Amino acid sequence: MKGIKASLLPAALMGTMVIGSGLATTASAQDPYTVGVEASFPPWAYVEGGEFKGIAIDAMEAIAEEVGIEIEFQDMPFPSLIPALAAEKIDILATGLTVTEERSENIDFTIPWWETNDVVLVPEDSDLNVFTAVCCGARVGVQGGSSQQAWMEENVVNSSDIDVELAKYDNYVTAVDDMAIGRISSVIVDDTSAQEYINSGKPVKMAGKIYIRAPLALAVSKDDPQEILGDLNQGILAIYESGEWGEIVDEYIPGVTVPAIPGHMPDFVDTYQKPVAGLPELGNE
Amino acid sequence: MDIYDVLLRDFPFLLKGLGVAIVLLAALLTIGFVLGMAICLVQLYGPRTRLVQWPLTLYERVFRGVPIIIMLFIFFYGISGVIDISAFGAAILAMGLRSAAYQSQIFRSAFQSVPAGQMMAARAMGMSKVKAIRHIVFPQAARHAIGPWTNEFSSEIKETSLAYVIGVVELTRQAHYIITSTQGNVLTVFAVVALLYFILNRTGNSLLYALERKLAVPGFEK
Amino acid sequence: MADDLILDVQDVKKAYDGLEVLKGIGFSLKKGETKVLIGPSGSGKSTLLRCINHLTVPDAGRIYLNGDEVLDSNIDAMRARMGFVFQDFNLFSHLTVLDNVRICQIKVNGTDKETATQRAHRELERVGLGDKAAAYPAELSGGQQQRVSIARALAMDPDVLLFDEPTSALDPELTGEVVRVMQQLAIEGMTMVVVTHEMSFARQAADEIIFMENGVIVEQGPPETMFNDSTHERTRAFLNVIAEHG
Repeated sequence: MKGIKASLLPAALMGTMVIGSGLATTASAQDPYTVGVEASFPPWAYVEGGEFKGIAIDAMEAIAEEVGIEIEFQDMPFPSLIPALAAEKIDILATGLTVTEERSENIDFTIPWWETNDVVLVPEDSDLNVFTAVCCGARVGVQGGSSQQAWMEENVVNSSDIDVELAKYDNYVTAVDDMAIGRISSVIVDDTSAQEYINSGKPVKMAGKIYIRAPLALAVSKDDPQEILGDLNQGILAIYESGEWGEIVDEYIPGVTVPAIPGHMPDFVDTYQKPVAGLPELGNE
Repeated sequence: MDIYDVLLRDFPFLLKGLGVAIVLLAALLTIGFVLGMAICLVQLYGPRTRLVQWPLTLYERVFRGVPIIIMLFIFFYGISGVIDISAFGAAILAMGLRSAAYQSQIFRSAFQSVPAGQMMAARAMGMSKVKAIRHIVFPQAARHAIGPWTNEFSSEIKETSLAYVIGVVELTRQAHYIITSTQGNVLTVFAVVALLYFILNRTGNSLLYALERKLAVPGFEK
Repeated sequence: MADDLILDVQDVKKAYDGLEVLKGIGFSLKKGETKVLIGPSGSGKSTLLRCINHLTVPDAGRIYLNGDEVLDSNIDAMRARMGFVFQDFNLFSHLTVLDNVRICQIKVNGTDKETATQRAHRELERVGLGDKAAAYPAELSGGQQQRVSIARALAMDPDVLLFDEPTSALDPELTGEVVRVMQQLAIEGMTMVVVTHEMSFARQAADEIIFMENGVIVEQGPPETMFNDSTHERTRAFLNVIAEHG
């Protein structure tokens, strides 16, 4: 597990290393795989007391152990993660990443390991419901580059007469805080995160759910240049079947119902065509 | 744990973030200084041919005209095909090369504010061009440059906070960690971070002002 | 070329954008001689002086210093042997008076610091500024600055000193102290070429006066002849104008 603690140091160490090594990092076969995470995205990935924590972190470590690979985490803001994966600056993307058609054109998804629905968060004392919160000139907060932003743009902003304005944030915590001081009237966020905010005592409540049944998955660079997609798929299934996955999830979101793995695999994702890498019996015909 | 306990517990990580910011700042200012000085000297004293001068002008215009965040993305993602560069390396290069463009202009106007007679007198005494620049023009230009260079120092401190977009975990990013892991406290955490930046800025400026005082020569500013 | 010539200027020409400023000028200087170049502004005398040490590169002509030709290739070494005093002093403004006088000894001639310091103090005494070693140029009057610049040139132990209108930038009451230093140098046997409008200096200190106009030497001769007995109408006219204003 040397990946965890070492991983927060690189930036500091690199200051000295970088000058000596001509600013370059070279990947060789025995180097650990770099796992890109958005470490300000609890409960999936965050940093507490200088250490990476979260469902994606613990699960990724369990998977790595299961399939026998070395990993190290690299934190990046969410909007940078997919470009970084596409440019092969990172090998694996592990965060609460929603499977979408657009993303599947640029990166390859593992089998889904979670399923979310979006919720509309409003201030605790608000009397808005899911319909009144997202209409009539409201400013609605989303995380920039997130699936919620894409969904809102596709289904509300661009395709209906509903008059809302999307406010895009660097991360959801800022969005929720902005709602608390009245800059925006609601925040669209996945149900897992929403529960997290409510559990931590933020003055927000759910006005209602948007059932989109969005699958979440890990991702690798397009066409799997490192040939690890099969290992990851097998690892995900293995930790699910061993019960380790359930324990990890329960630690971060107590009492939540863990969706079955593999979950719903949308047709538009080409890595979900039969045979799925590492799990040849699975996949869409 | 309330936020103050968390801040106390995580303060070493904020300091580590500050350390990363300082290393980044020092590296980018060094690159900017060396390259900026070289550009300035070639622009002022190098061959006047277009072949030499035109690329330098282009370089300076491009790096001063493109937002740093775009440069960061270009250096991190864009040149991956050429060399495999780390996020920190990309940040140093992008910011250092940009600072070189700014610093070259600071130095150029500092050199130009040294009266032509100084160079002429040095040459008339038998100094070579290099000696005249080194012993006569440079020491005077340096005094003119410290003021504007202090501004560059301050603005680059602020720019280092943008390096997190390509994954450099500096002070601002460490602050994000605390904010997200405690689900809020934006104001408190950023107030502490602002204070750290402020201290860094004041310290740097004080050192530069001290240098300026040390080099002060009666009547020189006239 | 005679052996005892310190400076020998032969047929120097210079044109700017087709306008001939120097049309082939020659003169020479023996050791210990002082020659004064006079003439109306635009006559080319300052350009001629600058051509001697290539501050202005001549288009044609030859210049010899102690038998060595002044060339682009040896120009730094040759300049080190020719002191040059500017109209506006051009003291190094970031250096003290002492450093002004010793920096070129150290950086150009390679003199060690102690010897250079002693020499600097001696030359400052010589121009009457022994007590100003620690001052910065901006703290001195124009006359004092010009005397420092003379000391700076003397400290290089030059074969010849070139003065380019050394008193023209000074208030009238400050010219005296500079002229006195120059006269003293002439008496001590310094070899000098002086471009000036100070006719009193020319009359008293010059071995020869060279009158230039429109890029040529109109007339040259000892001061008595030039001032009292000039054969050229142009020379007389010029000296009359100067006399009226001086």
